[in-house]
Amino acid sequence: MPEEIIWRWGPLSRRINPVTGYRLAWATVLTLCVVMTSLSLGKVILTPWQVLDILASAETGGVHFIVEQLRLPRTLMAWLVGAALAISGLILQSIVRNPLASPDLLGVTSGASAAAVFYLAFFSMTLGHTWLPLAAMAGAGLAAAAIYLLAWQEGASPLRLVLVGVGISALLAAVTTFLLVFSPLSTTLSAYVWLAGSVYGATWQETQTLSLWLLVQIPLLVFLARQVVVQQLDDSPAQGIGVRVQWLRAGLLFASVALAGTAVAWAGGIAFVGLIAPHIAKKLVLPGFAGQAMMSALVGGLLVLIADLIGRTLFLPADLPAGIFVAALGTPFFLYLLIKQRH
Amino acid sequence: MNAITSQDLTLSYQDSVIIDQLDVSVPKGKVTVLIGGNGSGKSTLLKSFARLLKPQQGIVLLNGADIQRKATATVARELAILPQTPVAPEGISVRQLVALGRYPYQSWLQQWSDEDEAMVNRALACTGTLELADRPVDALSGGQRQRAWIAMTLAQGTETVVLDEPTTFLDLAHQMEVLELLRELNQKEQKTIIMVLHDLNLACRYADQILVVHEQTVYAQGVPKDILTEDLVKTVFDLNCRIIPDPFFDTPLCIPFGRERTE
Repeated sequence: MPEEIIWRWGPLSRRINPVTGYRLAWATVLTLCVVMTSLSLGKVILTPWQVLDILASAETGGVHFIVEQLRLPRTLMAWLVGAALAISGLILQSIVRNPLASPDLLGVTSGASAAAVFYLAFFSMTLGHTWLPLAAMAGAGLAAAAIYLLAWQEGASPLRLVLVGVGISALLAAVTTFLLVFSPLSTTLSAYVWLAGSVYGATWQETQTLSLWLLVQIPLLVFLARQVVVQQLDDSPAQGIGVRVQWLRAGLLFASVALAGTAVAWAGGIAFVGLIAPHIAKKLVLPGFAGQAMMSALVGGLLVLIADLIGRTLFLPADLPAGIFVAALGTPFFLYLLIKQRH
Repeated sequence: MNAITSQDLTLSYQDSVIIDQLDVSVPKGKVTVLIGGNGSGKSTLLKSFARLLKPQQGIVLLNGADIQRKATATVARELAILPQTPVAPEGISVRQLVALGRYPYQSWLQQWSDEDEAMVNRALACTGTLELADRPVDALSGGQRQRAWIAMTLAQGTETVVLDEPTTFLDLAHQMEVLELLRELNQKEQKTIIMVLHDLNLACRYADQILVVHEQTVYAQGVPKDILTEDLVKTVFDLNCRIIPDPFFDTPLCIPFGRERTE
């Protein structure tokens, strides 16, 4: 196993693993390639050189509009949503120490879905779709808070969180179905696309708002990064080395819910990324939260990016929700990694 | 000077009282072993010594100050605890596990100082886990794993080390290895060792002092030779036995007969 590089500068000190750094660099290069591909492909096919020309010039009409106003915001949003869900899932899997945990578990998707469908059924006629992300975010937050409070018994144990989470999610799924059944067909259709998870028609304004919401969460993540591994110890040894376990767990849960809630609010029920991306990332880099988080973000971003690319190019003129292809892409790749590891 | 003192300490889970109004002290620089029957409250008492359990009443003093009033990180720099059968984070290597012991000394800025490095290497060396350092903890045998965990508590660099049944699941050779290591740490570095053991004979051999936990209190406390009697074993464990001096170590040796048999 390669040596870690220890970096010290004044009061700062860090341990850095060169292999992790190397692989992260590769994943970043791959991401940039896929971004270029995504900007090039569509009804109008361009070469990467043309795309670079377009991005560099200040003109706005024709192909410029297609690349800069249609493809670029959508590409960025797909990446951001995937990255946020992946980090959220990574945090959650480490908290509940269950490899099957995904942001769905804390009611994020089910809460957001119920709220979104409720909004589409009762408010979209009068208010339009502008407030849909906020409604979904509120739903995600409320569901997660309810689960956390109901699971509390002299502290929130991971097992109770899982059990209460499954229960509340099932309840909210029932509410969603109920609302869908009693809504007019037009609502049902737009709700269905939302539930499947899509970044269709993303605008710059939406992408900017999403980036802002995610940006404010980064300091919290940076602050919590070194704490993730210590809380993976059992409660008693963790307390023994001086970790305030309940505070830390609450902080991490909050970060996880905030990330997933934001992503789901703009892209709908695409949370499967949060289950699969961290697993793929953990196979690619060595243990250590900072490295795993960055790799998860890259893998999650790539997954949604490629899924959306397939959804909007392979079935032209139809534009299919990215959520469909996230599962179709992520699962085989994950199985491949598992099988490769077995030999 | 005492490492730990309890005053009027009452511990309970929900409604059932485990330890009732206990005053006890554990001296510094000695090996103290807690013995007692299953469910007698040894582990519970040990947990309260490490602030893992809040007393219902009374206080625990760690190095003379109320442990509940100390900051979590301060406690972790004064006392290290190894709970029963701890679980390591998935995929973590021995060196990474041991490095976690440095957590109470680190901050967001200072995540890996020279001292952290030195302490981890020392902990690995003196537990004989240096050659296992890059192996995943999941892949170790029971004895190796226990040594890795002990290394983590040593990396904490505390004066007091508390261990809950550090020899469970180990074969006799590995039990001896762990106990020898702990005694060496006590003798070379004057560390205060407090642990729960089930084997009375090993407890007598390695302890400077024994605490017998029975009926919600410390039933007896003192040098093994003075307190381990046939009557005590009968009362505490409901077991008939003979106690003879160990022919090699001269500590009490308990030969159990069973509940019915007396000869």
